[in-house]
Amino acid sequence: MAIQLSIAGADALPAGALQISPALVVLLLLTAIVVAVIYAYQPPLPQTMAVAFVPWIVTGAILSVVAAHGQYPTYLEPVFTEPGAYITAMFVPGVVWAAMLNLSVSRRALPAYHQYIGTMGVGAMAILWAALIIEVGSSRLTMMLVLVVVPVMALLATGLIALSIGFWSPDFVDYAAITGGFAVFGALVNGIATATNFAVLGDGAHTAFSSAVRGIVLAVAPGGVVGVDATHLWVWLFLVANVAIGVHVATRLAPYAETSPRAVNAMLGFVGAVGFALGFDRLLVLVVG
Amino acid sequence: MAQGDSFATPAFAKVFLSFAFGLAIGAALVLPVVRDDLAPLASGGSGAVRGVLLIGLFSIAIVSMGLFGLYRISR
Repeated sequence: MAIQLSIAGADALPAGALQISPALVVLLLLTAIVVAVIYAYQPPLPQTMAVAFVPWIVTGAILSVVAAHGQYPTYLEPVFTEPGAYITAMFVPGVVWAAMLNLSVSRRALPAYHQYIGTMGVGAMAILWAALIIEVGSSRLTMMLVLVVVPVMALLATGLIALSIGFWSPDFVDYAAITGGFAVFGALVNGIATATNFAVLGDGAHTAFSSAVRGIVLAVAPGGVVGVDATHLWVWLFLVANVAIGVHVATRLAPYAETSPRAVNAMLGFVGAVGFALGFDRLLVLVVG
Repeated sequence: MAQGDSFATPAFAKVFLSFAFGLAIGAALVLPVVRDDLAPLASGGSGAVRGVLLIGLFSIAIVSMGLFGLYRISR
């Protein structure tokens, strides 16, 4: 697929060409530089680092919705709509992280950058929530509770799941309880969001994975099992399958966290962040539009 | 990095400053969009709009207090 800059406008591009705005290219380049700087310092990655990025993920998701409803200058719009909103939301804490690493090179103890980044994210997220309420209006406030209730319920369920994993995978508890739990949490939020989407929007909201699970259940038990109809059955199986994938990834990687904690924390954090981002974005689009 | 994995205990002032910095970043990100909507709020606005503003302020206050509480508990 040809990639061309859309400086001359969409009309000048050949059919099938992917448009990338100059602002997005600049943002991507700057983000790559920040990532390279952070990587060069080889900083320790505590398990809570992934959690510190949760408010920034929420910030990115809300930013994309606010941008879709509001009016940013045209040349900046790609930076604030998807997927640019998420890159922007990751770029800001990345710069802060790189700056803190740079300033603390000569110190004996590192600043707890994960705590500062997380706290900063909570502040940014609070403003974004207020902006979303102002932009969308008070009519959808009740529905917006879903955006709080689903992650909280998923968090409680993750706690129970993590406790049960501890019975058969001590490595999970010893070395990757938080990042592993975060991976399960992300898978759970993504599963709930996908299930909610196809419950509300119908077949159009199916993903390849949910279609596959539904196909298998409808082929094996088209009439349901012991009083549970096929729809309920495959929705629950879909959720269980999502959680199973998260649990599988977390328990497989956990033993390596003893010798390579940075790599394992980074991988599990990435898995959890992608799952949470996809799920929260789906919920947000469903609730706010 | 030479320091290993030891982290300094964060000072409350710095944590609070991080939160304030986050508020500023959030405001900078959304101000171009909500600027027009804020004008009616500044001039009194309708009851519904005032309610929305109050909810926003309350949510920020609750998050701030929750953060402070968590910090106190963790020490």
